[in-house]
This record gives sequence, C-alpha cells and structure tokens, in this order.
Amino acid sequence: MPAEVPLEVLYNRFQAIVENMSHVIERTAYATFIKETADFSCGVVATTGEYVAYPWNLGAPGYLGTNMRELLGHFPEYAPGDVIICNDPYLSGQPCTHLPDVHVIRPIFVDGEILAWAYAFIHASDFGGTVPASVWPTAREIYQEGLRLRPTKLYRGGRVNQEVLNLILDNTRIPETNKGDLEAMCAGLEVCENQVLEAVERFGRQAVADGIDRVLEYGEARARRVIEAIPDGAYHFVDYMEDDLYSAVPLRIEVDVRVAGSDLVVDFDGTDPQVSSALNMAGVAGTNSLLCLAIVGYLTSQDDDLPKTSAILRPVTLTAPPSTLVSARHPAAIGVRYATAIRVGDAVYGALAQALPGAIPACSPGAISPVVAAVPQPETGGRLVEVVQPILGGGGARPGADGLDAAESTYGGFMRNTPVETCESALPIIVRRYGLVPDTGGAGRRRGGLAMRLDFEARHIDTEVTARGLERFVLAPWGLAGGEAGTSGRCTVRRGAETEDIGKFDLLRMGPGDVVSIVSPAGAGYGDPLDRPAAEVAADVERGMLTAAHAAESYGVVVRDGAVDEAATERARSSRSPASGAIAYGPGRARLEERWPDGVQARVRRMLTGLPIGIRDWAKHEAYRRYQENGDIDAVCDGVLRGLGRGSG
Amino acid sequence: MGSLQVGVDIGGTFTDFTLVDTESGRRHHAKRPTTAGRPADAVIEGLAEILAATGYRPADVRRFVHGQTIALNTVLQRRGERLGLLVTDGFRDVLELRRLHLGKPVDLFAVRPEPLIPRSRVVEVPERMLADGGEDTPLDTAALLERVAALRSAHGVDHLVVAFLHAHVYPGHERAAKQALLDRWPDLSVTCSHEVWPEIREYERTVAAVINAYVAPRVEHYLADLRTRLREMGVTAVCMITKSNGGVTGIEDAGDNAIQTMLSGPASGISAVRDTLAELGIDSGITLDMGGTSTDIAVIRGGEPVTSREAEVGDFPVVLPSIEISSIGAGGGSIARADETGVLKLGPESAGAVPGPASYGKGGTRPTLSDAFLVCGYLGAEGLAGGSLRLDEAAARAAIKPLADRIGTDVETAAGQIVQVATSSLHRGTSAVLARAGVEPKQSVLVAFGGAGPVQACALAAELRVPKVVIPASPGTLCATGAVLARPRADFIRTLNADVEALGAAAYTGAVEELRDQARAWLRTNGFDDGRARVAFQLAADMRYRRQSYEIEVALPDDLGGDPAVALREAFEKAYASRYAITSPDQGVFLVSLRLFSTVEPAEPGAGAAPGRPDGGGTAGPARRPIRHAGAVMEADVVTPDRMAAGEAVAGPAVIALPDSTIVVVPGYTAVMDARGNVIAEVGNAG
Repeated sequence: MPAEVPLEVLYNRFQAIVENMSHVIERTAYATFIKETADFSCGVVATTGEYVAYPWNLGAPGYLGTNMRELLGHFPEYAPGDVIICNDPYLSGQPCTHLPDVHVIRPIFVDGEILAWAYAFIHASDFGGTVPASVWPTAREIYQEGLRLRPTKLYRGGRVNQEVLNLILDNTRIPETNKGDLEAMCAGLEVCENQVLEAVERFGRQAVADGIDRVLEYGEARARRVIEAIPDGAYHFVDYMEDDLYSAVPLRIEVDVRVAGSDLVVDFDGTDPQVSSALNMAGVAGTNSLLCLAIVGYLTSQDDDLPKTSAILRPVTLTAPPSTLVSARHPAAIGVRYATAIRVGDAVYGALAQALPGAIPACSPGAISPVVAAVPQPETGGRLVEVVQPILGGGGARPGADGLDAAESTYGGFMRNTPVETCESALPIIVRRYGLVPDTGGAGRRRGGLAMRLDFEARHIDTEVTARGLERFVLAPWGLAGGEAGTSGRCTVRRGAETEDIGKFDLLRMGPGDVVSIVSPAGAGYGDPLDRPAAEVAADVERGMLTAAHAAESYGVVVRDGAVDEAATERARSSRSPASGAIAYGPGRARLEERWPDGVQARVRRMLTGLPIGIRDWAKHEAYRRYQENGDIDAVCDGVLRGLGRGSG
Repeated sequence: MGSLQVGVDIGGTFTDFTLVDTESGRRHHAKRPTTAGRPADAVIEGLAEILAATGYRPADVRRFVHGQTIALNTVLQRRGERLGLLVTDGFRDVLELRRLHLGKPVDLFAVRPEPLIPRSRVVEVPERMLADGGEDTPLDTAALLERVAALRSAHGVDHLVVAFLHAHVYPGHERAAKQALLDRWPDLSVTCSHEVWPEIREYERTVAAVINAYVAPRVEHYLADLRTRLREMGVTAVCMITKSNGGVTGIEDAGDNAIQTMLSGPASGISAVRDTLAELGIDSGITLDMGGTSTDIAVIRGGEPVTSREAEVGDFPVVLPSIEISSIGAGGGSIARADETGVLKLGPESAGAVPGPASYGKGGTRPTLSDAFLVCGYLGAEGLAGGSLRLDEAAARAAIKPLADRIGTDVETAAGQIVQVATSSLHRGTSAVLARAGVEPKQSVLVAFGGAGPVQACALAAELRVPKVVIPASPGTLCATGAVLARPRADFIRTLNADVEALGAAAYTGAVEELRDQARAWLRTNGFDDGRARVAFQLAADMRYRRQSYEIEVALPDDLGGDPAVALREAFEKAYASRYAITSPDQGVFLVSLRLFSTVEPAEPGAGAAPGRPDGGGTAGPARRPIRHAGAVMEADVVTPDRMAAGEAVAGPAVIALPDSTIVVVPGYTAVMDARGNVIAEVGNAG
C-alpha cells in the first residue's frame, strides 16, 4: 500500500490541468472577446457539480463558486466522448447565466464510471437574437436574446451531432467564429480528459477520486476559517440600481447577511420583483456564483492562497423569494445580469462592512461599461463596430490605503483597456482626453479612487455610440467610517458651441466634430477627512490629483505654492466638527428615499407579493407613479389592486 | 592578439567566468562572489586572478563578453535618473492608468505600482498627429518651451522623455520638440519614444522610452568605467554586452539601448542550452534553471529559444523581443510549512543565501527543500560544490521534525513529501509553459541546470512524461558560457498599419530597405561588419485579419517575389491555418508592422569548441545508499565521476555526484555522459 499522496501534490496537478486547458483554449479560440476581455474559463468538475480546479490568472474569475449539479443530472446516461452544450439558465441551471456564454462539458470515464467532468465556456461575440452581440439591455423576454439551448449532446460518443451544430450556426451572425470557438473549447476538453487520465495512471484511480474529495473538503475548510472570523450576527444593507432602463423607477436590492459560526446566509427578502428589461438574474438555486462576487472577493482577499474550487461556497446559502430581480423566472430577459450582480456585490459588502469594521473598503462605483462606436460602412451597408474603451470608476478607499484610481478589484480587475493608437487606427474617431479627473474621489482619511474620463470626437457622419451598464450617475458610491461619498458619473456632448448634459445614455448619435465626454463615478472615501495627514493632501495637490481649493474645502488643508500652510490648516481643521461614523450615501440616495420612503417601498412590496409575477412589474410602476400624485400609499395600493380587479391587499 | 574568449555573467550571489581558448579548445570555469555595491570590482579582480591562474596574459583576450545587471537592478531598486515626461495634450495619465489590468484579478487590497515618473513631472504639450498621418494640431513650440521651463524650475530635471501619440509612425512632432528643447537647453538630455522602440500601443512604447532614459546614465557610467579598467589591466579586446534576445552587441550600443540588455542574464544561459542541444541534434526542449529562491523556465522550439514581447521588468512591461522566461516560486531554499489546516506547503518564502537551508550551517533553522534533498539521500554528506560545503544532516532533520509532527508523520516521510510537493509545483509551472508554447512534452527534452535543477530534473521529467533529460557540462556557469558563444543580434521594427491589398510593392520594399539600412548602420557602428562576417537577416510581419484584435508574427522570405499583396496574404494564411486550422478567405489581411532580426554568424566555427569529459577523480563513499522517491524507499547506486567519465550507463535509482552538480536518476531512466561532458538520462533500461 503506497503512502497517501500529499494533498498539495494533487491540488497542483488539478490546477495544472485547468491552466493547460485555459492556455489551449486561449491560443486556439477565434473570438475577439476572449482576447480583449478574457471572458472565458474552464474547469475540472467533480461529480458533486463543483469545480475541483479553476484557473485564476487567466480568464473570467467571477464563476469560481459555480455548482452545476443540475446540469450533470440532465441526461440519464452518458457515454465516453459525449459533449454536452447549453446556454440557458432556465433550462440548464448553472453554469448558465445569459445566452452568449456558451458552455460545453464532457464526462471523463475511468473503468466504466464517471470520475469527473471536463468543462469550458466562451462568451460568444454573437449568439443570435435581436441585436448584434446578443446583449440588448431593453430586451423584454429571453426569446429576444438569442438562440436558447437546453443541455444537448453536441457530440455523441466522440461523433459530432451535425444537425445540432447546423442549427446553432444557422442562427448566429458569425457562424465561422462560433465554430472556431466551439472547436477551441472541445480541444480544451480533450486535453483535460487526457491529463486527468494521465493523473489516474500516475497516482491510481482511487488516489485521484479521493484527491477530488480531499481538495473540495480542503477548500471548504479554508473558507470556513475566514467566515468563522466574522462575528456572528445578522447584517442588513440596502442598495439600489438607479433605474430599470425603461423608467426612472429604482430597483431595490436588499440583503440580510446572517453569520453563525462558519456558516453564512445571504437572504434577499425585500429585493424588488423581476423587471421587464435584461437586468434580471436567473435563480438562486444552490450557490449562484455571480450573486457571491463580494463573498468570493472577501474570501480571496483574506486568504491569498485560497484553493480555487467551488467548495469554498459550501458554507454559503442564498435565499430569496421567488421571481425577484435575483431569482427571476422564465421568460425574464437576463442579458445584462452582470450589472445587477455588481450591485448585489455592493450590498453584500455593505452588510459585511457592519460585521467587520475596518476590514471592508468603502464603495466602488460598481459599474463597468464598454463604450462602443459603430460607424457606417458605405460599401457594405453594415457598420464597423469597435470597443473604444471600457469605462471603470475609481475604487473605494480601503481602511489601510487610498482607493485605486480608475480601477477596482472585485468586478473588473481583470479587464484591459484599448491603446488609443490601436483604437484610432481601427475607427474614424479622435480621442481628445483619456485619464483621471481631479477632485472626484470621496474625501477621507483614505481617499477614494479618482474617476476616469474619456472624451472623443466623431470624424464620420452618423456615428453611433453605446455605453451599456453606466450606473451610479445619481446614487453615489457610499463612504465608510466618516469618509465621504464618491462623485457620480456624468456624460456630456458638445455639438458646435452647445454642450448638453445627456446623463446615462443607451444610444448616442454623433456627427463630424461632435465630442462626447464620459466621466465615470469615483470611489468613496474611508475615515474622517480631517484625519488625513496634511502632507498626504499636499502630495495629492502636487501630483494634480486634488486642486488646492478642493483640499481646503474637503480636507481643511491649506496648500500655498506647493507647501502646507500649517497655521491656516490648523485654523481650518479646528473649526470643523469630526465626521460622523455613519455610512455616507450622498445626496442622490437622500433624494430617492425622500421621494419613495422606505415605508412606502415596503408597502408596495407587500402589495406585489400577492400578485402573479406577470403583472408585478406593471403594478410597481403604477403604484410609484400614483404615489407621486397622491401621498397616501395605502390608498394608492388599493387603487392599483382595484384596477386589476383584485381586492385590497 | 590571442585566442582567448572570455564570458562574464554577474548574478545575485556569484560572478561567473568562462574562458574558451579557440585554438586549443580548452575551457575554464570559475566563480567569484559578486561585489554588490561595485560589481565591476569582482569582474576586474576576478578576471586578473583567473588569467594568472590559468597562465594567460590580458593581451591574450580577443573577445570579452559581459552580462551586466545594472540596468535591471536600477529599475528593481528604483534608483534611476530623475526624469520629466512630455505627452500629447489630454494624455497626462498614460503612466498612471497603465493597461488598467491589476496583477491579481480579485483582491480588495490590490495596489498599483507607482510609475517611474510621478504625475507632477508629466507635462501635456499642445500637438496632435492622427492615425492616418494627418496633423490635427501643430506642435506649439512656444507652449512647449514655456511648460518645460516651468517644469525645470519647479523640479530641476535635466533628462526628458518625449512620447507623443502615433509617433511610432509619424515621429515629426517628437523630433521637432527634441530639436526645440536642445536649441534652448543644449545640455538637456532628451529621449523620444520613436527612437527607443517605434511600436504601436502608447503605454508600452512610452514605458520603453522611460525605462531606457531611466537606466541609461547608470549603465553608460558603469560600462565606461569597466572599459577603462580593462584597458588599464591590458585587455584591449573587443567588448560586447549580452542582450535580452540572447544575442550580444557593442558596448556603446548597450549604453544607448540599455533597455535591450535588461533580461540578458538568464537569456545567455538559454543561448548556451540552445547550442548544447544543437550539438546533440535536438531542436526542441524545455529548460529548468533551479536556484535558491525560484526556478526559471524557457522553451526552445525549432532550434531557437521562444521569444516573448510580453516580458516584465519589475512592475513594467517590456515589449522589445526577449527570450521568454517564466519564473516559479520554488527553489532549493524554499521553506516548507503546514498551513492552518495542516496541509503541507512549499514556499513562496525562501531561506535565500542567508540564513540558507538548515543543513548549510549558516544559521538557518526552518526546513527547506535542500534539507529535504539531504534527508531523502539525494545529497551525500560529501557535500556540495566538490566538497567545499559540508552538509549537516542532523540539522536538516531537526529543522524538519516540528513540521513532520505537525502533519503527523516521521521526518523521512515528511522530507519525501516536501520533494513531491516541489516536483508537483514544478510540473504545474512547466506544463503551463509548454501548453502556451504549443510544445508536446512527449516529444521534448528537459535541460536542467542551476544548483537544484539536476537534483529534480528526472523526477520532473517522469511527471511530465518527457523521455529525455540533459544536464549540460558545467551547469553552474552556463550563463557565462552562453555569453562567450552568443552571436551579435539586433532587432528592428517598422509600423506600416496597412491592408496588404492596398500596400503596394514600392511601400513594402521601401520599408524593408529602411529596416535593412538600420541593421547595416548597427553592424557598422559596432564594428561587426568587417567584410568577413556572415550576416543573417530574417524578416517577419505582424499580421491579422482586418477585424481581429491580435496579430500573429509571420516569417517572410527575403524576396516576396511579385505582388506583395498576394505573397503576404499567402504567408499569413499559411501561418494562420497552422495555428487555428481555419482561414477566412473573405476577410482582408492587415499588416501592422514589419520586423527585421539581424544576426552575425560566428566567423570561425572553432569559437564554440566543445568541452571534454571532466577528469576522473572519484570521491570515496558508499557505493549504495537508500533514497526516497514518490513515497517509496529504494536502494540507489551512488556513482562517482570516474565511472561516468568512463562512459558507464547508469540505471535509476541512482545518484550521480559530479564535482559541480548532483544528478538524481529516478527509476525508469538511464544516464550516460557523452564525449562533451553532458549527462543524458533517457527513459529505458541500460542496454
């Protein structure tokens, strides 16, 4: 009987397999998406549906916590060489979250039994549906978002199912690219299977099977150590999406994070119903990785060497009433679910900040928006479509460090920008300004990260610009421990001598000489600005991150000719009272809650609970609208219900 | 002038010397401790001693090739020149934003490295060229001078970098700005981005120019001082400096283009391996250079080291071509520990040279991989480096004991497991490198050097299923040897940014001619063009389909013959199909840039004369001893150098104790020493 193989040896082996697989996919995939935003991943999946290993420094990190048990059980039988393809969360469960992410999985048989599964996904540049690229923020139902695939055998026993492949390729705008992507993923699956079988040869079947269980248990144990250190209790937080893309009604995201020992529950009770745009997230069954971005962010930040397995979320339970924004039911559209996932992350961080004062950063903008320009191509009648830049905001200040300028590291830390020279070579535009905006980060002992600004000029007639996912133009990132809120985002367009504030925009049409300017939100501050050493404020002034006027106003630090005027600073600072420790939500949030107070929101929610899902969204809008005319919310709700032919509720 | 070629490589701990006598074919290797504060001291004093000891005179040195670390350390320690940066209006934050991407994808406490030039010394200048060469805004010279005057009076900078948008193709504004600045302040030093590396992507090009300006004064000063001291001791030989691309260049060129020498140290070692493999008739391999704190990995494919344009120096990207080297945080000094849940881990913390492994007796008390090697029986008490360092096994055991208790096993089993973890972590790192390079391990060769490389090589090869392992002769001074053998090489780039259909024959040949002119100028100024030299020009193009975002490098023939549009498309599609197995005939092909790699082949073949087998000189000791491998204990043959020198084939399990390295042959592999002194272990039994 050979000695037990050290756990680290097997962990390294599984990680080697997924790293190799990710290199093979990246090297052979065709989609530009994979190369620009690294939106792909892969894994070795245990028969429990959990990742035994997941690549961390290549590809999209957000799905680490995925459990695909439901998918694995879809067919009663599998044979060696089968490859299952799927993309629809309503029909397949996890790992699916929206239709352009195309998933493939292949059973790995040893001695006639499935030992593990090889898995990969790529965000396809297009997978059919109403709009090119298959992400349409104002889609009202999933049928507009692309081709839906329930788990389907793309390969049976190693032979391609040509009819299925044809059906897929005939329904997308870029069949060649899709085919290349599928081939790259299948090549990756094959590498994975071969290397798992090599590991079985090397260590023995039982050692590998035991190794899978041991790695999962190890991941769980390491995660439990981190959660155990969070004080037991229930921590509550509310955040909002500013609107639902077709009205000015905000979307409430409410979480109750309950910690007991090393177990953690996130309860979404109080979150708004699913909506009639593509902001929905499908399902909270098991542990939906995208609803856990903040939890995974916290775990990996606390434990740098945390095993990269889904079992780190075994201690976590998600719960939500049916048919909310985070537990949407078919046929809700889901294309831009990442925008919602980010705001859920903000809310969970907000709750954790109360559990762990001094350990959680102030709020980041939590908005990632690819700015895309589409220019007519007269010869073909089509449009040339290219990403100009991804817009990221400044990061929230950390308890021990300033926020990152124009960057944040839970939701978009893996993204790269586009060199201006490359962009201008591909598109007839002139980038006029791309950089940081002074005075934007929330003031604090630690300053919030500065906003990003992108100005560009159109050179061609009928240039269309889209910027989906812009958020926090009204509701600023919130500050902690006395730190101020960050500034909100802002968009303007200059046509000739006229400059117009256009707010968040869906589609902007520009002509030659028009200049659009997009300013992201900025990170919030942490701690009392009066506690920030004057020398640090002066250093920011010297580097041009702060103006002297702003330094005086926000920090009470008087900088003259590059040096701190100690006496004037002393006078300015002593005349101010220390910041309160309350969360600084900023003026937008106050206006929102004045317009629709918490009690009003709760009353409307109570009314909605009794309604079928198909009319909840309409009833909510109706109630919010009528409440602006009639301040008696009970009367409003009764009126809405009567209009629906239902009794009061 | 004599027949002696000298290679010197400065490492963190030792400065290595290799002397090759091209007449007799004799080689000498030596090491001296690196003099960190004044690295030239070890070079000059060491050289004088070694020449004396080997019976040569300074005048016998005909070629002196030097690998220096000044450029690299200046960036790592951030002790370079105080610089100002001039950028296009609207782009002051080019260095602050970098490419946005953060080192770790998810980390609440992530930090972004400080730029080499703080934002306060970055000045925007009114000027703007467009991607198509149009002049959007002329250079405002008055504003330029006024702003630079303000910058100089506020910050006192004498070195400026000018990096304007699109200057890689349209350098007019950069040139005009430089001229205006020098007219006004003749003593100012001005570096333009198009001069250092004219490639598209403003962040990377700006960083290249900044790094070059940041390190150049120190490198120039060091090289001038070295040259003077060499002359004073009587060495009048041609001086050459190693480069990150594996080649060498003249001493003046190395000062002007210091950025091209940043990663030359490890690159020289890889060049030496390439030559070793070529002598063995092997054209594909993976190299494992395992030192005290980390292990460097590189790939040789098609007879040449795989190069990268994504190298990093400290916190910064370097896009100039360099031999691709990946680092894994596992070395002989890596410390083993149990994590909070009782799982055995190795590294990334290292005992380094001080205090070093417990068994070295220099004060180390924590268990390292080297201690585990000793307990596993890989290293005998006869010690390292030909017996100059005795190893203390009791100390190694004492260091491992608490860890063994913690993970619930005995000292021997714990030591075996530490080695297994090290092997698995090397396997993880190397297999990823192979996957990225597209090299199949089963058709490859593992070449190991560095202190711990030969100890681990066979176990790793077995894990990777690599059938053959090569331990080059004198593995401890491979970088210095590589320096001696390296060929002069320079790379040039010219951006075209054009559809191949629209390019036209004249524009193409014009661009190629320009590149050749640059290469000829480099040959001339560095004295490589002596009329006898054989110069190889390899042309390549970075091309992609019009709508794609990443280009691939395609090798081109000297003469495309006929219409370049047709020939370029053909070359591209052939390369594309071999990589992706598909082509898109309806898509246009876009040529981003042309590259020219020029290499000077050695004038006489004798330069690389092979070393022979080492002298016999067996070490006394037991003929067999138990070793631990893969969780089992086995009796290993302990092989002395004289047996290897006699050409004996040694089947694993065996430990081969050579004067400058210890090779562990695992079961299933059989090792022999060839006539050049290389040890080659192959899968199979002695036959």
